[in-house]
Amino acid sequence: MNERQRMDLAPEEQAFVERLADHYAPPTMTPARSAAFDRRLAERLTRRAPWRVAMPAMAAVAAAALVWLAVPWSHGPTPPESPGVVAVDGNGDTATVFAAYDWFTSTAAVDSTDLGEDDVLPEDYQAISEFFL
Amino acid sequence: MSDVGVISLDMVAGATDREERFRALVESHRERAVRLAWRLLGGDRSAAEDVAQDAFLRAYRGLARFRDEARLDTWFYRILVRQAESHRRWRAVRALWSGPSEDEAADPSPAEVPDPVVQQRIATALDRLPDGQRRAFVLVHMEGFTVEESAVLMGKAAGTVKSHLHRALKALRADLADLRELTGGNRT
Repeated sequence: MNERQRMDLAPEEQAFVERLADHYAPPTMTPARSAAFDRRLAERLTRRAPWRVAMPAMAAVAAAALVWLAVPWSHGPTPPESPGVVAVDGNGDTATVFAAYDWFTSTAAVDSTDLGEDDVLPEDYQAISEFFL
Repeated sequence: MSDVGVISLDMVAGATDREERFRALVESHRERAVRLAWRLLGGDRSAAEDVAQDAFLRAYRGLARFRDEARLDTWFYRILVRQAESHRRWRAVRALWSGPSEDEAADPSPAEVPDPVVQQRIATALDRLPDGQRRAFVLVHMEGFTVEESAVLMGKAAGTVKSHLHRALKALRADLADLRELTGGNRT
């Protein structure tokens, strides 16, 4: 107890504080408990935190991901454009579906109306067609 | 420190300067650190030991940079007080979400404690105090730090600590006035 501070207290207050401190204290640490405390402390000092162990691996993965995203040509061969193949994800990308539908119907319209038969038939069949018609 | 304790701490590393200083710090402050944490945490023994260990670990990591031996104790107890308050806040948040758990309640063993009922009353009365008052009262009136030291530990002005002490004492005397063990039989 701090005597300098206690001098500011009235005798009755001082007695109250002393009794309070006496009653409100944990049991003294036994030698066994102290040893257990030290042993656990030493274990914690020698053990590296899991996040410290994982940090280099996580940093490497993050760096690789950044490189992957920053360099588009490194993503592998670009698939040929295939307007007939439409990828629809699980949520149903309606914009993609409608765009594909528009493309399909416009192409079909061109095939059926704007082009003549000559444009559709192969060259040898076109020659036969010209001969007979 | 017991022999077993010395052997355990020897596991840390070779006998470097930092290990020697750290061992001396643990040896001379283990008991008081646990007791202070116990009082700040409302009589929770296991939490007090955890907080004391956390404080020692932090001290160990910062010890290489700390050269002012004269203020080593103050520096360490400042870490401890912060750890204890951090633990209190975290415990309050957890209690808010999941309710208080048994392992966090005060755990005075009847075989070890003179009067667990009185202890629990004091713990409750201290818990009712605002943070600053509780810290100031425990540091000065229970642990014997000077007002100036406590001000450093709490990061407050000495005048603020004195004000906290005055209010805390008044509140505790009113709250615990019915306990003959504390009033010496005289009702205040």
